[in-house]
Amino acid sequence: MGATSTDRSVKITVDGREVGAPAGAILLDVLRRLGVQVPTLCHDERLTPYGGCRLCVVARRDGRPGLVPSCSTPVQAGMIVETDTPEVRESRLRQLQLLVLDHRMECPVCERRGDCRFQDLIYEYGADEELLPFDRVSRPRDEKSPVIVRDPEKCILCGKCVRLCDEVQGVAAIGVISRGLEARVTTMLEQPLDCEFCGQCVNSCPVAALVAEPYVSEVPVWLRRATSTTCSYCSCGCQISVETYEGSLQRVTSDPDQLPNRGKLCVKGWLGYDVSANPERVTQPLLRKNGRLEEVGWDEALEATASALRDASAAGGPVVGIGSARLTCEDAYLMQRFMRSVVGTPHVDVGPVGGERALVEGMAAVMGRPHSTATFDDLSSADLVLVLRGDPTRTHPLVKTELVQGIRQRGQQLVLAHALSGGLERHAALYLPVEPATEEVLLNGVASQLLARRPGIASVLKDASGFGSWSASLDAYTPEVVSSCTGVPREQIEDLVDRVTTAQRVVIVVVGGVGIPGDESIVTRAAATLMALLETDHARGGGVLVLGEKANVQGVVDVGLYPSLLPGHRSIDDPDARKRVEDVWGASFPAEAGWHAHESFKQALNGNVGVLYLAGQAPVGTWPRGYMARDAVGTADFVVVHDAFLTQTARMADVVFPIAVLGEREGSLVGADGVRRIVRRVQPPPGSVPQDGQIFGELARRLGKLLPAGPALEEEITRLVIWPHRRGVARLFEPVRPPVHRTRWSGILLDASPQLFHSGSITTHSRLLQELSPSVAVRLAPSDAARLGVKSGEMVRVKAGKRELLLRARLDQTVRPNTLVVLWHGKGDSAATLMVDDGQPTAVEVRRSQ
Amino acid sequence: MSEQPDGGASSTAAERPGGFFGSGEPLPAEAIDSEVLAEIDAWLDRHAGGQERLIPLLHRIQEDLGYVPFPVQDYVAGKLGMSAIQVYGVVSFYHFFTTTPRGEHQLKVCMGTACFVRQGQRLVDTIRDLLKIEVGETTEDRLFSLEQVRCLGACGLAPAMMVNSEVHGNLTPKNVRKLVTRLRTRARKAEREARKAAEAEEGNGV
Repeated sequence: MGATSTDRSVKITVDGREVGAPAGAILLDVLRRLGVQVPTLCHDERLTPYGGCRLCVVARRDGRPGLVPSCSTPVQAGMIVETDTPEVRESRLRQLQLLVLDHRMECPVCERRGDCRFQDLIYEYGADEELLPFDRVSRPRDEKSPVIVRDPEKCILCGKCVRLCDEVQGVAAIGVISRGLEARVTTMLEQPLDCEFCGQCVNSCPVAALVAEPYVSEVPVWLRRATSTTCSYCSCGCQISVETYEGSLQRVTSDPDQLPNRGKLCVKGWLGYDVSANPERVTQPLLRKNGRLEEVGWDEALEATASALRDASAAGGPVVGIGSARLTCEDAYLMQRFMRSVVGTPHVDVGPVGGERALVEGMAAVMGRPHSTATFDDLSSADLVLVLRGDPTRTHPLVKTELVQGIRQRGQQLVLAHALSGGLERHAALYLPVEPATEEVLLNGVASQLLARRPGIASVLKDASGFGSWSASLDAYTPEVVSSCTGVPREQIEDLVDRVTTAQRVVIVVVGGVGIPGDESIVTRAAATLMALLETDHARGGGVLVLGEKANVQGVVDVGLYPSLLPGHRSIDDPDARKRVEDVWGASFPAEAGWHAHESFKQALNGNVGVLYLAGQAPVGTWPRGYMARDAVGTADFVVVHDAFLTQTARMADVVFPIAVLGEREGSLVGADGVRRIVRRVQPPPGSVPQDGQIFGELARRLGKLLPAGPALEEEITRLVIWPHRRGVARLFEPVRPPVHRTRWSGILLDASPQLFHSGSITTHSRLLQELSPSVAVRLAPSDAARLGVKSGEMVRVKAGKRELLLRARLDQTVRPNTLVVLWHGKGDSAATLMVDDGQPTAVEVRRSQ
Repeated sequence: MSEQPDGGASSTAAERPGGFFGSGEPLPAEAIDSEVLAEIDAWLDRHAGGQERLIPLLHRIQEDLGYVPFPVQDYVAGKLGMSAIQVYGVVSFYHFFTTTPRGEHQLKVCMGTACFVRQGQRLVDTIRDLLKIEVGETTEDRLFSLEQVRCLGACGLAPAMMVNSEVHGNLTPKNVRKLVTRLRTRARKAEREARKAAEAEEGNGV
């Protein structure tokens, strides 16, 4: 990475041994691949070579006398290097001694004792003796910022934090100022940090110059237990290492050698794991007795639930099971298996979680299979990335960093087309701020122009199923119409067409997230169809990447927690598929597709639902008004809730089962890239509460059936579901709907899509995330605030239709003017309840509260 | 219907500016003339390119304004797609750039080897006593600023000093005092005349 390597190999000599190396490769990488130990403090494989610490020096012996820094020296044919000569060791020792001079040595009491690269090297090279008499420059610790403490007296100026913040995170909140002994890492005018709090600076610091205040601990690193696991927040599948001591969380870090995130972190993965320790957690089952929820034993709660399920089945009152995309694959599998084969109801759904419809009704409609056709690797190697519907900065921080690195390090072109800004615009080659919910119009317009420019595409595809009627339906998408619908000038649409026509590797990213206006499945269909055209013409090795909002959207679809799908993407309408599943289960199940969550709620309102079973969903006060969640939950005969907190929904339930969250669980998650990754238990849940799947297992036993567990469960799942996914082939074209004209706004657009610090129900229970970004605030652009006469910190009334919420205002320059950013979830009634339906753009009125 | 989400009004978490790039609050700023910003825009239009334009642009600003104010750094950062701290990193690295205003007449006394042995320090002391400013400071009327520099390349004229872009050599405390006094008298005279002209215009015009 970084280096311009070719296939050509050259011969070089390392410590007397002749070896082959790719021409242009960086010498340090070659040496390390050979197993040669080369110390570094400033080098990072994710960054462009820097050459700051001079510890990686090696001696050249091919006529160019002297020492060269191997981290920034490209290999050349005939190069002869020696890596461990007395002069090399002497030079490294001197460098270390110079660094020691200006470093406050308090190793025995230092936060990073035993976990410090600098300390290791000082020991290895014996550099503890000071070289010169010198008075260390005295500089105070900077404790002004939230979470991150900077200690300039320990900083060795390797610059990794500064460079990661810029090259990878794309933020550049910190920089090195001044020169010589005065040089130091700081923010503009020493202001408190106001950044994304991704933690990369802290995680990359080789010493203790950057420390996370919440993770300062008396427990030295060698006494902690580090568990490598998969982050449970978004669908990036980041590998993190969670350190605990006697069950209590000490720190979250990430290893640069682990895919897919290569040591990168985001604020949720880094700081959001304190949810486990939230004192408000429910740890005992609750059962409604005489109208009140009371703590009861597990037996009593399970028995009450089992008998409600039995009664409902006997009385013909359908049972509805709505899970969540936070469930592990195993738990989601058990839930649909329990509902279908034990309870005998077809009504299982994951709920409106963002991304599931893009997969099932989008990708599967065009490609035959409900999964992405691009991976994160494809994203890195693409030369053009088109991002639709949202800014990954807010929803999928890892994807954001991949894009920033692609642009900064590999010259990638990024095109953004969405209505809700998030900060990535300043890195984009082209930013198309489309009118809300018009991404499909843009894509169809591009497809139409592409067909006109490249007649070869139509001649190849003319016999493909439905191609004729599809291309005829595109006739309505003239450049004028597309421009007027989307609000994007014609020249910019032309520019986009130019780019997709010339780029070789194209990846189209569809961001899923509740609160993003527009129909995600239609946008995804348009994206997959456009991709099929590009692949017919010239593009190779790209694809469509659907980013489900929550961690396991792909996994729950894979295991069949969806009304129309059985495990393994099999349609429930397919008799062969049903037979196959029945054989594996040894049990029958209803043969028809069940209700989606929306339909289930409607049925509940009409008194047609016997038991409403919600696993990890809290619809009351957090789903759009159109769902009538409060009334539906109130009307259902019997409501069962799995939740770690007493949400508004849980308060209305008849039974509440406490469950394990985040790092307390075991199982697997499937990322947006289709890779299944392991979740390991890093700490025990409070009160030994179980996982969702265990509760289904217990209920099944009480209903006289057995659900598989452990290795038997894994065997059953892998008989039905195949990972990794096999790529489908574009199979049919369907006419697109006529271009939809959106009315222009008279009001302010409500943006309730995920925010960087919060995406939903879990983050609002994290003390640290709440401190960094209170979830009860609305953000608005300074220009709007000035117009409305609102100052930061004041309360505003936000009104849509007859509904009104009182919220605290905060000014934010990254918010697009005429937009109001609020959180979908929240404590109390959230802003999502201002919407009727999250697919439709919602205009709100905002005024200062008197 | 009006509802109060839990904890909404009672939230006591310290208000921080929103945004990711230190963007919530403007930098503590003296007001920057919009003409200055317009000139920066015009300069950038004339000189096509990317971030490599930063140093030449800063040069231009330093020469025009006598310093590079923080809000201007912020503005330049935005124009070049950088963050403010990255621009400040460059400004603070080079001795040439300053973030505090310099005087109309920048006095740079040479303290290179030749000037040092020819008692350049006496020149510094003389100016310091005369103008009541220390090295690195600017007089209140922003007429003079005093700096020490290392070797002006005029060793044959030691001790030497630059006044803006003009080198003066073979200096003694006496003629330094004369030089500075002359500059000050001239500037004050010019100011008086300008004020008179303005008053006259006001009298005629209205």
